[in-house]
Amino acid sequence: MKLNDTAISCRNLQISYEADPVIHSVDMEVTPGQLVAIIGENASGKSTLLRGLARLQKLDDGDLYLRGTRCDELHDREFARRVAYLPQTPSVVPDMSVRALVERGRTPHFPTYAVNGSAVDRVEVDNALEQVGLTASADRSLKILSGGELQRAWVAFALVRSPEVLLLDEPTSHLDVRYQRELMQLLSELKEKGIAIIVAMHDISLAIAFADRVIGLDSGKIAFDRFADSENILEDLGNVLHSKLLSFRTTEGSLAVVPDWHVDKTP
Amino acid sequence: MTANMSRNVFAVLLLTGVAFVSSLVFGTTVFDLSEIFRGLFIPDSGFERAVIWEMRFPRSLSAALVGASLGLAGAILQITTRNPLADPAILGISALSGLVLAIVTVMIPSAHAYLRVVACITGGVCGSLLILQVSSGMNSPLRITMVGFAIGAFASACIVGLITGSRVVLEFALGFLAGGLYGASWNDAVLWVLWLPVVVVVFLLLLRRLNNLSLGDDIAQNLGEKPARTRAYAIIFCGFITGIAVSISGLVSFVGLASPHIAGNLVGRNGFTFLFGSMLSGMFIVLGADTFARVIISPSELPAGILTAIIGAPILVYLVRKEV
Repeated sequence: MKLNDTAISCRNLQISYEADPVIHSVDMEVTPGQLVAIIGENASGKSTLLRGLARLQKLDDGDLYLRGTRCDELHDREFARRVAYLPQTPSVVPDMSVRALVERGRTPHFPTYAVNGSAVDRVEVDNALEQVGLTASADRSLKILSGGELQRAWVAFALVRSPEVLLLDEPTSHLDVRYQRELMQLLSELKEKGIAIIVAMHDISLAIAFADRVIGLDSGKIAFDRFADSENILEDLGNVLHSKLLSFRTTEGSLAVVPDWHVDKTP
Repeated sequence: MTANMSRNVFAVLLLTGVAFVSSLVFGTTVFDLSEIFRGLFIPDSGFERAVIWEMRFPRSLSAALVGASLGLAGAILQITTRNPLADPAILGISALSGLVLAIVTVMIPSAHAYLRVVACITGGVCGSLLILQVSSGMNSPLRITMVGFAIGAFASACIVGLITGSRVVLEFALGFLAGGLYGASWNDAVLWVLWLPVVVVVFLLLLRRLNNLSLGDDIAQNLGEKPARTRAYAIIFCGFITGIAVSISGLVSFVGLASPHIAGNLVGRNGFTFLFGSMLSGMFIVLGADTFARVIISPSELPAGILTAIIGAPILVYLVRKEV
């Protein structure tokens, strides 16, 4: 695959956190329209890798490319227009309306010192709100939204800038099953539009069901990188998570994976 | 912004206007509106002119400037340090500004009023730089708060030491430590001319960056901003406006802390409206406090600095409990 065909890629990425190496020599390539799940145990480096890809973390070594262009050559604001990153949902909810939040997400497109956007930006805000299904709630305060709505508001915040790459850290944690499904379906729709999406997540069943590719991260190294429906994925996942897993085909024929909790409740 | 909040912006604006007019009306002599009009606009109107134009009007302008500065600095500091209890007093900026003033006053007792202004602004700006430098790593809002608090306590102790050590400046000391507008004149009011252009320019340069900073450093950076730099510029700017406030009124507490919360409850915590609302709330508190300070034990007066909390605290408690 030529580098120009990838939405985002990295070569030999190395990141330390307070002198401790966290990410060791990671190579990865994600093409436009691909949904990639990063799976790994706590402290395996998932968040750090995402932050590295978002240029929020100083790289010890390695190169980052957007459509074949080295990211070092990109100005902060251009990079911001092309790569949107969402940290794990912050515990402090900003005191503003949904629309105000989404408008802020559009700021990389504003002229350098502008506080507000143009008519074009406002149309984009409306589109993003519609895409996540929050048009009716646009003027409500973020403080009174449900967990699922809040997460969708943040997704609208990220996609309103029409990014090429969307990086999400644990977007489904704290969500009920229904909202988890809704959010992953929303991401699937976004990828159809050609956005490359990389999601760090804990939930293996969601990853297998919705992602095109699963990357296993173990102590800061890529342990495996497979298509989500490949045969060996169960074993690979089990090794990375140090747990026994069960897999089965649903009645519709798709692969499902769950942990084998194996609890003996007989007295 | 909801309809409710637009209405509240208007209400805050109106209340601040009322507080300003009241500060012209009340004092040792109570004037009616037509007397105030004559005093303001007719140069040879005798007694009214002497009291209103030469004394009350510049004093009210000064009080408004103090309130606007402290309210704005409080709001910006609460955003940048992500600490709802931050204000120029708690972060030590007021005390550092005051310390430089105290040093200059002790060394040059006959210092010209403008030299004192320069001392206060220098103290505020250098104080902010010092806090940023010592808390190295402008990425840690909590560290900035702690370092500011420590340096501020140190500076306050030095001020008291200097003042009690050198007895020449007792009158200055009382007015300065309690905070108040006694003797505020056109010399002070004219600082608006310095303040306004700086604030306008800073708003143009920093407003969007501050808005984005309030979403968290990572998100701000992913929006193409430089959070540490924004924070540093914003804190230095707070040093400047706090310096202006200290040069007029000494150490007025509570205004910087309370105004952002009053504004946040009434007009929301988003963008320009929040900063403007906090500025107006600060003006309202200081104008109200100064008016009361002149009326309560008339013809003598109290330091307004001790009345800011008396005006502001009930409003704050009411709003926080009501959670508009």
